[in-house]
Amino acid sequence: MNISEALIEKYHQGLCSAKEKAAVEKWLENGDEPDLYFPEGLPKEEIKMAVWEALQARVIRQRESSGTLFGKYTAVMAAAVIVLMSGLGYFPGPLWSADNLTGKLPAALTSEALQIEFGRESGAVYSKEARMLNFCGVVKITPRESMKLSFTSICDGHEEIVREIDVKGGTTYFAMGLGGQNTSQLIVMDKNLVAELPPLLQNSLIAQFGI
Amino acid sequence: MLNWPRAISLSILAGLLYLSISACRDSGGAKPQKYSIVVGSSQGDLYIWQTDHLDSGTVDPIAKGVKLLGPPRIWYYLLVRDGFYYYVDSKSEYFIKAQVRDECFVHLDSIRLPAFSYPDNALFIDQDTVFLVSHSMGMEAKQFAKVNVRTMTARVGSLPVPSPRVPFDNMSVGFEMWRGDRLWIGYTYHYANKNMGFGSSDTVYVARMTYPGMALEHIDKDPRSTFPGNVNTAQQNTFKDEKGDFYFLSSPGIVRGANPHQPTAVYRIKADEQTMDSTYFFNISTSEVQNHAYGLWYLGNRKALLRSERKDLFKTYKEHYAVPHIGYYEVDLLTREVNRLDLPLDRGSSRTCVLVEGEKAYITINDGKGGNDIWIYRPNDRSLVKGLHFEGDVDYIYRLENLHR
Repeated sequence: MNISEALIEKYHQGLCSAKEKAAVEKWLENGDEPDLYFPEGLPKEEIKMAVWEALQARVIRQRESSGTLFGKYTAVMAAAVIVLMSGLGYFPGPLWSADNLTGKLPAALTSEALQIEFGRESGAVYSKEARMLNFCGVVKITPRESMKLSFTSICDGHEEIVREIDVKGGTTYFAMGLGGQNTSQLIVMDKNLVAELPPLLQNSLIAQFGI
Repeated sequence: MLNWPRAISLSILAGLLYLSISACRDSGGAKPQKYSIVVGSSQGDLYIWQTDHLDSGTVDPIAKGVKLLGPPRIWYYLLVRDGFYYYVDSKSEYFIKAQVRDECFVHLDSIRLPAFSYPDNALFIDQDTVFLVSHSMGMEAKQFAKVNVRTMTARVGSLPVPSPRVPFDNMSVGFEMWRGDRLWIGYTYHYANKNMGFGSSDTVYVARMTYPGMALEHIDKDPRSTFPGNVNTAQQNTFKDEKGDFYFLSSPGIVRGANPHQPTAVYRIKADEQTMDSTYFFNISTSEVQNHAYGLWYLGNRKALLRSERKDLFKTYKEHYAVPHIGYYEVDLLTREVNRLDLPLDRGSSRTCVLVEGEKAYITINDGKGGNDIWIYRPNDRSLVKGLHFEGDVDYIYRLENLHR
């Protein structure tokens, strides 16, 4: 079947027949398109931002519904947002989906200011202007330079903020938002002080990050 | 196929070994000292200083000491025995034997022990044998490694205790107790995940097994507290008294079991019994202490020294570690009498900070105001005097122990 622009649009509107839907999904999954040519002279970064802003809105919407092909790529796209968000403003809200559920994400992502690794079922968005890391679960971060960094743990509607921690460039930190039955605490810990955490948290970090 | 990361770490280790030996020649003239002290500077560097005297004087252990090269928190997993130091390098997974020779911390020998990078527990069971319990293997069985430190050979196997089951996803072993041909293990199960947060089961488990057969014989379960024992390489809370009765402290507080609604308590296994003494339960949290505790050392004559947190003085894990809030109490194991020692508030969630020798207990204190001292407590007359003072850039006195146990 020829995959035309009209057919793709029809797909996104949910108007395809089962046969058309299968054809579009097969085409999407195969991904054997030739490399795209990006004309010189165009403002590449601006276009990228616009694309990602559009995608991000889509990701959030898709998270609220579910079940179509798009959902499959949600995590990867949102993960890419983490890198590219650094030029944007504050992350708009607590809905997101940068997670490591599929196990197919890159183990680490690098932005201009931070290197980030994700634990299980974890995700993060860094806002350069607010110097704020919005995250859920457990993330391992290494800032490139010393700075004041704030952290917001946003999980399932529960939000906790730690403001302006002095982080050292090149030093690795774990940020954990592990609210439990007994405690609700956003923990930001220098990797070298992990031994001061309860062994059960250490065990969890060892299992997730192989430290 | 060649495992490159491991091959590289192996060659780096070999290189370090060569460098450290070639940089320090053993003159053979240095007299072995009696005590080993590990301190940390405000920059986070660690130093070993050895001495024969703790009772008086002033010293700068950083200027006089030897830099302790190794993983950043090497002090936490360090073992000191018969003049040697042992630890697992968490990166290379090698269990390393080392010694201080002529102003250098020298690596002598090593054996690779995967899964023991951050051992839960490690105990010398005789002069040549150390028994290590692995860090968590998630839902899998805990491992043990029995290492002969003379030949640097090891027997590795699985501990015959049940692995974690849902809702628990990891476990830790807080003590090992050896008696004849039996090994006793204190442990509990934990959860740490996005949905449940983190914490421990509400039960103290104590398993008895044969040794060397390692066949499980019996498990005691007690729901009155959780997290029996501690990470014994960092801070100690188990001992045998003059009669051979074994006591252990449970640690449900926030920096160990993270189940703070349960009380910290002292339990007992009597010398001539095969199960826990269910009639003995010394509730520390409802005693005059009114707090959780993590350290307990035997003073003799039924008395023990307790190191406890002050819940009103810290809020976060970092403050628990960094803020002076820790107090010491003498507790009578039978009458349950509690007496607070008139010491400055101490820092450090866990430290190897008490050494009992004869009628004296040496207690290291870091008060956070430059008061880095060894205090001498005599249980006989409950006297407390200041001994050796540490000057210089000392942040924490991490370890004080007898070098030649």
